[in-house]
Amino acid sequence: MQYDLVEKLKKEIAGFRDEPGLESVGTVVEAGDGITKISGLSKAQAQELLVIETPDGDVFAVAFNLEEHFIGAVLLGEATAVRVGARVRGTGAVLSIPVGKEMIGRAVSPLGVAVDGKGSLFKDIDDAETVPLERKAPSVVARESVNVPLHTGIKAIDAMIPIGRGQRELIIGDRQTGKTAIALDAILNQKNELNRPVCIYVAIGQKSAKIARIIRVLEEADALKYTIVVSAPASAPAALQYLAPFAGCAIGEYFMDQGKDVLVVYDDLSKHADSYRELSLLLRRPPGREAYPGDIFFLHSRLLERAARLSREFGGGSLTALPIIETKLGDISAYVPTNVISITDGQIYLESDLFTKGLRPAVNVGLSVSRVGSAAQTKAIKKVAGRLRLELAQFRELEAFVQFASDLDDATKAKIHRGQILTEVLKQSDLQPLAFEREAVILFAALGGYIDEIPRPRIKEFEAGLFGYIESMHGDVFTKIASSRMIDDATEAELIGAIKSFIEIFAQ
Amino acid sequence: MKYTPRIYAKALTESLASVSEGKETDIIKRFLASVHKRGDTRSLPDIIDAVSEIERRRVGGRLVEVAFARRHKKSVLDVFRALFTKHDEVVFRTEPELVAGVRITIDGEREFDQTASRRIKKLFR
Repeated sequence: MQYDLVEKLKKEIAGFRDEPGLESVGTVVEAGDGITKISGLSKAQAQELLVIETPDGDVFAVAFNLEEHFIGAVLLGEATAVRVGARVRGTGAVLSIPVGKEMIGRAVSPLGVAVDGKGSLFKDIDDAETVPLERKAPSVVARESVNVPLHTGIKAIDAMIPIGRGQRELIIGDRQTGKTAIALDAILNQKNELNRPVCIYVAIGQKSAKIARIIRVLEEADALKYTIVVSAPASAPAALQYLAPFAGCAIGEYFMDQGKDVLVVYDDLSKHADSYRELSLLLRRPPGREAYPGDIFFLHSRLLERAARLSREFGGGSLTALPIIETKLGDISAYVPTNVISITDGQIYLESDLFTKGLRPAVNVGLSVSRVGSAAQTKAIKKVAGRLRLELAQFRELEAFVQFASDLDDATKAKIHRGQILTEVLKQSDLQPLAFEREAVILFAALGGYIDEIPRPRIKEFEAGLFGYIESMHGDVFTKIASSRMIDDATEAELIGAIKSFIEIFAQ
Repeated sequence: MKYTPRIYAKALTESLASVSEGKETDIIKRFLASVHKRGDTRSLPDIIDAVSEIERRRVGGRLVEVAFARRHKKSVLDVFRALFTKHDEVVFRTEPELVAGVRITIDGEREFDQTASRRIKKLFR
């Protein structure tokens, strides 16, 4: 064994080449709070990866502030090891991470290192492709309009706020309103999709326990096999939290460039903005509104602009972004929320009041919108859910009169009743996404007025029963809708018959 | 407002350049009094470094730091000193962690490192 080692060492020494030459170097003149000030390295480029030599080994840093005499750099490793006077070398390369299909099913750090305890990601790191974290967004020429749906499995969203592949849809709401649950459902629902996208969940500043729970949920639902978790928990340095969404996006782009569809969840960009604010203040960049640096808008716009649907000439892949923003007391007019609202192609707005009333997902239909998704909505859903938003809006207006029900005319009473039924139908527990053909069936039944007579507390029971009945007695209905993605006249007739006969059974 | 050592150094060198001969000592005394008054006495070593740098650049010289793993005879050091011009400031250091060889750094920016420690590190990287 020892002989082998000596032989290996001899081989390495024999093949070792060290060409003498001049190298660019610098010296640490200040270090602390995860950042460092470096003199020298006057030729360093922005975002260049630097190596700081310490007695405990090399520590990596990224050049952030390029000033006349100094460089402000953000430390990516053990900050306590860095001392004043330490030698710094430039690498000439911008910050990059190794990527590959081996990452699927794994949890990685923003630097592309496995953090799930399942061993290293790549058998040979040289086999992995290296991609820069920061990359220019695809040009106008490379893009195509969003026209393929990305089903979330959530009735309210797929029916009224449809998301297309390549879209950027913001999930916004106060704490504990179900933002992560929606993103998680969207990932779980991809399990049965024919053209299943690669899913990437980027956890930024989340509790480690929450990240562990999410990984467990994905594992139990057999969804981890097509998901990558990029983890920068609350305990990670601000630099890693800042880099996490860019790492997630870079991994996503690797798959998009291969013509695959990708879904990336950024959970959440509020904490990302906070980590960037922390770094900027420590680097003495001038603070602006809410102490965020001046380029906070550009930070998020350059990240979210990388979501795209590429044209066929460029491989036809797509990268769908679901950024999450946490509001404080429902204030969507704060700085970061308004920025991200204006960057994205729509938002799903979740409300605490709706959540506490038991309406889950707590989507405020009035404030939620999808600007490009309707073009990508499946015909089957479009056909049945066309009137849903209008009927719900009418119901919301009349809702205040519910307590005076006895004094209302029959038409108003009917609208209120229909609204209550629809509200009940749209309720959905988390981690239970529905296939789109099932969504189409239940919405068809509700909007067609077939279930108006069903008592509201029994709607969920009816829904489950109806799916079971159709599956066993009219199995081809689901298959036809799933394959053709529409409800043709023949299917519609069969569906109506199935619903009516099940209502009779259910009433007994 | 606090002035950086570089600003102090620039002010001093510009003042010295514009003053008539024989008045330099007065200027330096007044400069030191001003630094003391502003409570920046602690920055004096940095100010001196910055003045040296400005002066070196003015005459086209460089700061050359030559580091060895162990102490060498004067004759060896003279050989190295002879490699540079009279305007260059050559500083010799002894750094045992280099193990063997020599490392030459110019203006804290460019480095010629032929030490054993670097080679070992590179071999195992």
